[in-house]
Amino acid sequence: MGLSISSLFNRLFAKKQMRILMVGLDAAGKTTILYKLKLGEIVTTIPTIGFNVETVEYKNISFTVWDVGGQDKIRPLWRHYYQNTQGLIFVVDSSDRERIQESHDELHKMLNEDELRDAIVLVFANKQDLPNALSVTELTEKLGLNTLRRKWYVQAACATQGTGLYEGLDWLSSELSK
Amino acid sequence: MADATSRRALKEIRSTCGNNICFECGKLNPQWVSVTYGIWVCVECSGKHRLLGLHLSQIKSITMDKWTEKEVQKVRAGGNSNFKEFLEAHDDYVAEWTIEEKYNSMLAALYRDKVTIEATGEIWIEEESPIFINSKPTTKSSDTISSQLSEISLTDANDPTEQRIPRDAKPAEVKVVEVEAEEELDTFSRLGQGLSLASGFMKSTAEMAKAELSEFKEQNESLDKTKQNISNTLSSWSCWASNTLNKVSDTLVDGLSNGDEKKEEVPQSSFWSGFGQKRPPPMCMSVQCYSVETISDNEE
Repeated sequence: MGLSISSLFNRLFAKKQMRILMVGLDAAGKTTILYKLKLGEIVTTIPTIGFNVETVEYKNISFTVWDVGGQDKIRPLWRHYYQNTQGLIFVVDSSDRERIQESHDELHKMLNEDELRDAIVLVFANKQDLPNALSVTELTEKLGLNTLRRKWYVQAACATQGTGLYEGLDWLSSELSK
Repeated sequence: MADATSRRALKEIRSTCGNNICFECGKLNPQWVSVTYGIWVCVECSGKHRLLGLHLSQIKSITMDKWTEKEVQKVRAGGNSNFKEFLEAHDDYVAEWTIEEKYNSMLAALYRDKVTIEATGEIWIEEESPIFINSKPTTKSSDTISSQLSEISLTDANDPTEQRIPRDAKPAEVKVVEVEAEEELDTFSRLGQGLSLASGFMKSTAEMAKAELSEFKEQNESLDKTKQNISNTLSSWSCWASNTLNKVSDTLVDGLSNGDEKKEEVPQSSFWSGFGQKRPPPMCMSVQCYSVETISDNEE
């Protein structure tokens, strides 16, 4: 009886947990996004060699966000973080038109992995403030998101101004509670 | 580009041109490169460059990124000491610039162009760079005379040294002075023609400028008149407004002191007629009625 009451209590009031993996090409803005969410300010980051992990509390959900370096040679390390990932945040530098195909290839290669079959995908179209940035529509098409057979969402964002980030988390939390 | 090839090329470039220290802070053995300028920076400064955005600085690791031939060529065309020399050779360079100021400057834009052109093996000339041509100071609208001058007198819009020579004396004719002695006489006579035309032009421009100036004076005077008119109108309007308000308040006070329903209508009509309007707008009407009713209720 006591056990069932405590489990009910936990179900009603305990914080939900969500494990998030945040990846993308180098200099897309992953670490800047992570620390903007965590600290609410812009920190001068250095290129991530390895990973950063932080928990971000939002709307009674505790997001554990793993931010993994995106340099070409260290991308093979991403797969070590796939296990138990519920949500994948894929960050794209919208002003980097030259490497959008590279982003497309990395995203699709990753989503073919069995460990990520249940993960939902949030794409941050970051750096929208920069000149010549791709729009959400263009990015959706160039990343081939319409061909995905899973839940996905593209959110326009600008990490340095903090715009779009919480809208992205809103989508993740609404999907988690479904 | 094969990894081994690019790595070998980058290693070779690093030993030249002051590339073995960070361009920004002087730290030894930098492992990151801003491809845009072909300069070598440490990991901390690479972070600052990345914050500028790709359009101002593209950062790559010499060990963890893959390189294209074009990118290696840009790094070869750049070099720490080359960029430093370029900046210092320009008067508008400020050594105390922050990273944001430095890379948002016109000098950085010029150097971006230089590296891009030189990486393709071509020769870059500052005066021919589109950045240089577009950045030439444009004359301000307030300076009418000089704008007139530059508008009419320009021969070759792309060359600032030719700005004072009128259209008739073509730059080619001026340069002819350098050719053989036989042609010199002929050339000088043509140059003389050009110069006389130029002086004629200067005269006419001066006259035009004079006319412009007198016109400007006239405009100024008329502007003063207009100002006077406006202030007169404003003062008379304020007089009228205060009079009207006084009237209105008087009528309202009358209406209130008399308190009965018949007299309530009087202040309303006289209130709006004070503004020269037969009927007030519906919203105002209701507000007016409401306030009068409330007051009369209170009196009861």
